[in-house]
Formats: sequence, structure tokens, C-alpha cells
Amino acid sequence: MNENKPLARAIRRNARERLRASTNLWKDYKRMRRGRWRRLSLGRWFVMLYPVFIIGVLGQRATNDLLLLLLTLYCTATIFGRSTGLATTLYRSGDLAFFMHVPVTDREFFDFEWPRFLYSSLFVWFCSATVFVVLTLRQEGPYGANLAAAAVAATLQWLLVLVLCIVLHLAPARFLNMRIGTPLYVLGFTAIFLPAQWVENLRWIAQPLPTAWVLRVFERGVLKHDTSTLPWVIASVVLVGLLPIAFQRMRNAYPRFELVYPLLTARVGVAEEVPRPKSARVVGESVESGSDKTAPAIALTPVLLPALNWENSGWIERLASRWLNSRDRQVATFLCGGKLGRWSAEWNLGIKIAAGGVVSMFLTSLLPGWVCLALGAVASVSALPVFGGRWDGLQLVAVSGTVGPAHAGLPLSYSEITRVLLKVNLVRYLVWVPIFLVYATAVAVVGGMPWSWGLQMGVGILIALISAQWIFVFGHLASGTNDTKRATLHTLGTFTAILVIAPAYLGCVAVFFVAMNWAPDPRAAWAAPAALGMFFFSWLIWRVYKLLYDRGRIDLMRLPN
Amino acid sequence: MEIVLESVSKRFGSLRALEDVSLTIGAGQIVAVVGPNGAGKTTLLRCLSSIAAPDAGRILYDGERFNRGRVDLRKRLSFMPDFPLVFPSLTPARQIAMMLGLYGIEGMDAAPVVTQHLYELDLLPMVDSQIGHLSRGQIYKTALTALLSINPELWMLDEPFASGMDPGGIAYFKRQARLAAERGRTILYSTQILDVAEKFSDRVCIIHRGKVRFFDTVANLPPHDGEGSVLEEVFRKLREEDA
Repeated sequence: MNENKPLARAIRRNARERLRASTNLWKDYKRMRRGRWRRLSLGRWFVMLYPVFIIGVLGQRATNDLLLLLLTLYCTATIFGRSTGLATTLYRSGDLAFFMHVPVTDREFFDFEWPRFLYSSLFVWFCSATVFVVLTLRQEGPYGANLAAAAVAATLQWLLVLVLCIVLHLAPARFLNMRIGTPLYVLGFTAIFLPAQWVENLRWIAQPLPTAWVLRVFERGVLKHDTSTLPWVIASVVLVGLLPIAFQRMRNAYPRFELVYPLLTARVGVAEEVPRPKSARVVGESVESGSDKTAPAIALTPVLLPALNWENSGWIERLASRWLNSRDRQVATFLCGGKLGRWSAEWNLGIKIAAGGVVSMFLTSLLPGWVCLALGAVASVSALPVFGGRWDGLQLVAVSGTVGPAHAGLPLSYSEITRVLLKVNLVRYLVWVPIFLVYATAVAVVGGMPWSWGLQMGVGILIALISAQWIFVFGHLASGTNDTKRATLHTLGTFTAILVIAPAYLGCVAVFFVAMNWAPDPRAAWAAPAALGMFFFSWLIWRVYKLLYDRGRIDLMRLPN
Repeated sequence: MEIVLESVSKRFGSLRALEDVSLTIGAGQIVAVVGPNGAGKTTLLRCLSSIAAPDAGRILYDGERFNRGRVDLRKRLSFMPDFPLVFPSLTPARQIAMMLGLYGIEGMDAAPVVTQHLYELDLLPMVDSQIGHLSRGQIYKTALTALLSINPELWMLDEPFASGMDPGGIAYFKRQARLAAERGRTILYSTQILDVAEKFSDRVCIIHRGKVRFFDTVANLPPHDGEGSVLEEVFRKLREEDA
């Protein structure tokens, strides 16, 4: 399956010959043809500059340990993220929808997508090579052999990530992937601000991960000529050697279940018949005068005219509705996608997981200590809108070849959406606070730390998460716009401002946690300004983007990726 | 191509999109599939193009059982949804060339044919534009150019008359469809515009609640004395039945 470029060129040549015959058509053609330069994609450039930015900002302060930890976390997160991406491409993508309309086999579709997947995963090679080259240049010369080894190691790391992506893709629990990947990306970013001792400890914990093997070999085996890393070389090569087998298995297994037209599933949900409640109000009954007796009685049920009943929904929804005014409730109804009850359900799930965590605290002789910590984290991620929450009304929808947020065509303002998101998220945080703090205190006690330290850290984490909500709201509202697709004075100005403010926010977060643990007493006097700074800079990022958004300098639609 | 549906059924959850549909469509006909919203028109076209797999029954093309694995049969038909799926980053020339390539048309002789269709559909000046920057009607015309250039034995189009095409484009499509039918191609399209269905089609297939209620020539529709067209009268009766 190819793009048939010779025929495309022939069509173009033919068309141009014909167009030249008419002055008007030729003028139209010149006006409308695609620019010679691809439009600058700011997003892509930002992503490409990520490792350079990290190393550049950190400079000499970036120890080898930190760089290798960042790379380990990035590669591990990428394995989860890319395997989810692969599943999406192969089973739920727009590409699949297109190719279902044309006579190609499923195998051909797979073979078409696989090289694209390989190409998109090359960023792992780029990041790995950047780190290995930096490590090499920090050593004494000559560099020739080590630089060549860096290229080989980067390739090995890339292949290792690929093979693990495939293995994970073949694993049954794919739905968990992104939930693990995203926190790892965040952890990678926050690791930059951790003290050196923590970095060292984290690296020691991460060492058994396959994504750390090649790094260990390069750091010790290549740069320090330590022969004890030979088993890791063998393990890495063996794992990479599995790539052809894993690939063949994935290729032969595709599709693992019957392919469903991706755009069809969304419609099915709408079309499904819903049983009509007995209490349905009937128009024929309520309209007495002027009703046409021959007209059939049409049942107006809650299914047909959805008006969400906040009072009869979950208890968190009921609590949130008290704070939302009538307009907020209308906006929230839309943003929830017409469904209520998710927040309470997620809280319930969180409490069940937390209960499991409490049980694990009593089994410290059987289970490793980190299990209760991990369960607490999973419980909180389940119960809290850590990244701003899931909102159906902010999801992207396809419209005439473009994608845009579902709210784009509706009279909803930036501030209205923000207000609803913040109010609801804050309520959800508040109802989780007691569980979170009790759990944090208990974890500290189980870990042999003072209970007050656990409580203090719990409060700190909650403050940091709540302060970041402005940023997550900005992220939600920026999704689906063309802000990073077009380099205009306004978008460049906005993102430059955000790039300046973001480090200030992160700095405040770092100062806040450092002050809470190591500042001289009274620590609150140090931590409070930092906390205020977190809220201020988070709000400022949201506010700067609001200027761009409200002034209509961006489109609420863009071409699909 | 002779198309036979034998007791084809398709359900989505509790919704019966198609129920025991049996049809035989001979070659060289233009068939309009009409019916109320949600009647199963698009599902029928999707089953015929293997995008949706029937839960029961079978589809035969020239006596051969059709399913998604029969790429040879799929190369003999083309289905255009109401919002054609295209790659927004490609130009029309590249999109069409790719589509033709997928149908095994790779020779340079196709270029003049494509150019002619592009010219007739007023799409020539956009040949080097990015599809993502075209209007809905222009995107539809791009996909239509591909279909006309491929000229498969069975054309299936979902709502071509509500596609955003301008009158010139619609007229050109009608002319090409009529020519193709005369050459033995089968054109199956869904529509809600009853005037078009009556005047443009050789046969009309009325679907209601997943069942075929009528499949014959317009002339054989039951006569009526009231105002409006025959098909309008049929639709009125279907609504009354629902009530």
C-alpha cells in the first residue's frame, strides 16, 4: 500500500497544464495552492526541544544521576503511552475509519501504520542520544569511540522501548496504560527539582526496570569500563532480540478482535433505545386546549428531554450543586455530557482502593512498604480530578474534516467553563481531604516517620494539586484549538509569557516543599509565600491564555493530528 | 454486479438497525434508499460495504458470499459516507491518487480522467491546496472525483444530495451516474429528498424500522389522490403507523 505518488504527480502536471490555459483559473490556483513551507507547528518544536531545554536549564547542576533518572522515567512512561497510542491507531483511529472504506486487508492497514509508529517513536532515540552524548562530553577525551557507543546505546534503548511497547500492547490490561504513563511523565518533570539524595534513591529504585539497563551499561560499562555490567548487556540484547518475534506475533494477531468502525460506536450510544419510565409525562394529557385529538400522544420522558436531577444524583453532585448557580448548573450539565453520578462513583472507587491500602498497612511483614503508598496514590488519582477531571463537553469532536472542542459552537465563555471546573473540582478535593490526610498520616507512622510529618506532607501535596487546577483548566481549554499550530504574534507572545511564568510556578512548588521540610522555624513563614506564589503563577498562566482566547486570536478547531 | 441480500439483520445493542432484509438488485440500476431518520439506510450501505458485519443473513455479489475478507469483491465497489473520510494534510491530487492506488489503478492513463473530473467539478484550482482548508462541498467533490475515476461496479453514496455540493456538482454527479448505469454500473444512494428519489432513480427502496417496506420502480408505488408526491404519501402513512 503506497501513496501512489507518480500518479499524484501526473494528475498535478495534467491539472497545471489545463489551468495555464485559463488566466482566471491559473490565478485561482496560485491563490489557493498550498504554501511551499509547511506551516510551523509550535507544538512539535516544543516537544523536540524538550531534552535540550531540560539539559540547558539545568546546565552543570544536572548530575549524571538526574539525567539518567529522567531518561529512565521518560522511557518507561513512553512505553505505556506509546502502546496505548498504538492500540488507538490500530483499533479506534480516524485512519482505521478511512481504510475501512477502501479495499485493503487488515494486514495491509497494519503494515501501513507500523512504519508511522516507528517514526513517531524515534524521539526516544533522540532523547537517549542527547543524554548519552552529554555524559560522554563530561568525560575526559578522546570522545570518538564513546560517541559511537552513545549512538549504539541510543539505538539499543529505542529498540528496547519498542519491544516493551509491543509486549504491553499484547497484554490484556491496555486500558491501564495511560493512567500509569502520565504520572510517570509528571514524576520525570518533578524529579528535576528533587534533592540529589532523593534522585539517587529514586534511581536505585528504578534500576531493575528494563529501561534502565542500557543506561547502566553505558554509564558504567562504556564510560567507566566496568566489566560487571556484562549481564545487563546480555539482558538488553536478549530483550531487543525478541523484537522480531514480538513484532511477528503482534502482526499475526492483528486484529485481535473484530474491528468496529470507529465513528460508528459513538453513534450507537445515542441510538440505543432506552426503556421509557412509567412516570413519563404525556403531552396529550397536559395540553388540554388546542390539542389535535388525532395527533398521537408523545411521551416526554427524561430520556427525551434530559434535565439532570442534581438532587437525586450522587452525594458529591448534590453538594456541588449547592455551590453552583443556575447558569453554572446548565454549563455543568453540558460539560458532564448529560450524565451525573461519576464524581461520587469515583470517590467510592477511591475509598475502596484506600481501604485496600489500609489493609496493606497491617501486612507490612508480608508486603513491601511501598505498596500502601502506591495504593494511596492510586486511590487519590481515582477519587480526585488530579489533572482537572474528565469532562465530556471539553472532548474533541470531528466536524467537517477538522476537530474542535465540543463546546466550541456553544455560547460558553472561558470564565464560565473555568468557574464550573474550579467549583466542582474544589468540592471533590474537599470531600477527599479527610481521607487523604488520615491516610498520609498513617503511611508516615507505618514508615517510621512522625505522624505530624505525614500530615504536613499530605497538606502540602493537596495545596500543590489544588494550586495547579488553574493550569489544568487552561490545558483543557487549550485542547482542540490551533494555538500551537500557527505562529502568530499573539500565540508566540502568549506562549513566551507562559514559558516564563511556568518555571516561576515550578520554582514556587520546589521552594514550598523544601521550606516545609528543611527551612528554619517557623517553616510556615517560608512555605506560605511560596504557596501564595503557586496559586498566583498558576492563575497567571490561566489569565495570560484567557487574553489570547477571549480576544479571538485563535480558532477553536484545528486539523486533526 | 448482481447484489443479493438474504435475511440480513444487524443490531446495535437493543436497537434493530436492520431486520431480516432480503433484496435483489440487478446491474445497471440507480436505486434510491429512502426512509425516516434512523430507519437503517446508512446501516444497509455499511453492511453492503463490509464496514458493519451483519449479525445474521448473508450478502452475495454475483453469487459470491461477501465479507470483509473478500478484498477482491471490495475492489469492485466503493462507499462514500456523507462526510467522506480524507486525510486533511494531503492535497486533492495526492488523496485521489492514493485512493486510485488502493483500487489497483496506478497507471499514468488515469491522470487525464481525473483532471477532467476535477475540471468539471470546479476543483482544478484546488489541486495543490491542503484538503483540510477546503470547504465541506469541496471535500465531498474530492472524494467524488476519486469515486468517478475508480468507476467501480457498485457505487454506494450516503446522502450525496445533502453533501454541500453546489448545483453544478450535483448536476455533474447525476450525469455521470446515469452514464455509469447505462454501462452496467449499479448506483445505490440514500437520500431524504423525495423529489430526487422519484425522478432520478430507477427503483426506490423504502426502509422503515430496519425493514424493507417497498422495493420497486416509482411507477409501481401505490397511487394516491391527495396532494404531494407518491413518496410523500408513503412517508405520511408510515408516520401514522408509528402513532
